[in-house]
Amino acid sequence: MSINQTIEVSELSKIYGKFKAVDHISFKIEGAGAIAYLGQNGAGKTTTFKMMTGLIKPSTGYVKIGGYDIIRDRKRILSGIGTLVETPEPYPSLTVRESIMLVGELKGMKKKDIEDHIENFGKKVNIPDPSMKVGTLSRGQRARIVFAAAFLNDPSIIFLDEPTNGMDPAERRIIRDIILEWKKDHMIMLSSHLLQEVTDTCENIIFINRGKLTVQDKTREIERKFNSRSVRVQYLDKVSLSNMNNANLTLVDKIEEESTNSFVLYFDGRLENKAAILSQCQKIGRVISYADYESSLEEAFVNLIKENQ
Amino acid sequence: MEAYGSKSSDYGYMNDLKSIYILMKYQIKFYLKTRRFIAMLIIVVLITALTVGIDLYEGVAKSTVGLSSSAEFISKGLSTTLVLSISVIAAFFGGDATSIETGTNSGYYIMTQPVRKISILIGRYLASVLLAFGLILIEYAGMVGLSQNFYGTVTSRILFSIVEALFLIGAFMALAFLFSSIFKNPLIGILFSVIVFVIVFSIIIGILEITNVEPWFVLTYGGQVVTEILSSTPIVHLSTISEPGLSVNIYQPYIWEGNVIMSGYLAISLVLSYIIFRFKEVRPQ
Repeated sequence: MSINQTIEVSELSKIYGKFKAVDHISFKIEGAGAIAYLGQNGAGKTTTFKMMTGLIKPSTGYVKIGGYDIIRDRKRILSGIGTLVETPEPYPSLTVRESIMLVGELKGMKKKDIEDHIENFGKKVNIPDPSMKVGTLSRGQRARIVFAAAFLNDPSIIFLDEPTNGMDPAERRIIRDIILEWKKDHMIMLSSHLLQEVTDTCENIIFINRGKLTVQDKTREIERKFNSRSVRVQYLDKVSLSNMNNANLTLVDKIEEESTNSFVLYFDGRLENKAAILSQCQKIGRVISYADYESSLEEAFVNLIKENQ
Repeated sequence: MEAYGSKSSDYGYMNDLKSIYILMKYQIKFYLKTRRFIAMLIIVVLITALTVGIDLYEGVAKSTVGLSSSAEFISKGLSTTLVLSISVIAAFFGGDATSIETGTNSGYYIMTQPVRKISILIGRYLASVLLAFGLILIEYAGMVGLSQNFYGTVTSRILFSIVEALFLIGAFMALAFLFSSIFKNPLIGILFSVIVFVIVFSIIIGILEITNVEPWFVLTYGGQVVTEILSSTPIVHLSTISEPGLSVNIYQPYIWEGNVIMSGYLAISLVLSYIIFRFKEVRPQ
């Protein structure tokens, strides 16, 4: 069952007693690409994923995937999408092959197609020997089986909740490459605490904090927005920190020496001040580079949390 | 873009019966590789081997006890162990049936697939009943062999007994499923089932006998029909043992009564098990 690449979340809430795990979240996303769903621990990411995949029912609101309601048409939706939510564990007594065959058969695939998937995709994600029992495998190996199972039946939308949990850097790189390849014509919704993983793979971000949607924007925009209050200036000739401090850079709040002849200048973010600071810097020495300070998404993430506290 | 497998649109909307069959198939594969299955198999084989071995060595069945027919012999032989075997096997196969989904991370693997909870429950129930039935047939096979050896024949009534045994397995399994839905921890579900089936039911029957009340609501009481049905003599529903100052009523269920008790347990337990399972979220311990 093919599912259109649309996710519509409207006024979605999940309340446990007095605690609002998810608080009236609404968003709509369409088409192929990778979307990151970010937030601190306990922000409500996994709860939202659980509601989007029908594992739990919302207290209010609804989720529509491909135009179908996840509560009413759960089975129809799940046969056309791939899911990896929380830390799924295949049954320990089944073999790797049986674990993947089980999911493939439930999705209505032919045995030969499942075998092909194990052979091709399985090789790509380096799943363990298909005849091995799941119970004998490491956490990372089990995670790769679950990852392979999520991509069965060529799903049009794939939900990946912390997919690289328990994996080593080499395994993470494999997963990143697969996401990069598949996002070209699939919709991938990714939740990860590894922000580098998000920067590398996702062009859009939905940020939630304490159960509420805070920001939904392009990754670059978010990085730019939260990093534009600092610039990095680099000189051709030798310039010391004392040279910078003595230069009377009145519009600069703070100066950090990054390396020889390279400084990070913090200011109020106004563009005219950014231009004025450049003029002042040029008086100190020959500037070879003057650009927004490119820190990781992590900084934007931290800033967003601070901003919403 | 390299595509793996087949497009989702290549396949129809899976019907629930097929889901049940798939889940039952993989559940059987799962159980066959578990330690508990090996343990149950060893226990059943040991019970059968001991029964057969002792009977062959002593020849007690025919000569000492004086049982007149194959039916009486099989009935007597199975009456000591069969209901106990069924209850223990059901506890071990059914005691964690749904809690393995709601109380462990396996739930996140299966319950995010296109399958309804009712299909998971029925698929698992059928797998458990079939495997338990397979194990119980070993005990029957032992008695069939002995009967053939001693009497040169096997009563055809054994088929009724086998059907009743399947029915009893279904009832015990349903009750174990109910416990598995109530308890989050799979181990507690199994342990609780064993305690109720083996100890609590026996205590209740013992107390009711002393107080002269028919234990019509106890499953092990109803389960006696599994061996009673082999006997050609009429069932003595009530017999009284009188000692000075004490009178104890011993009840034997009628066949219809045993079937009603087993049906009640099967239907009520399975429905309740499903209702609880349906509304329980996956929350690993």
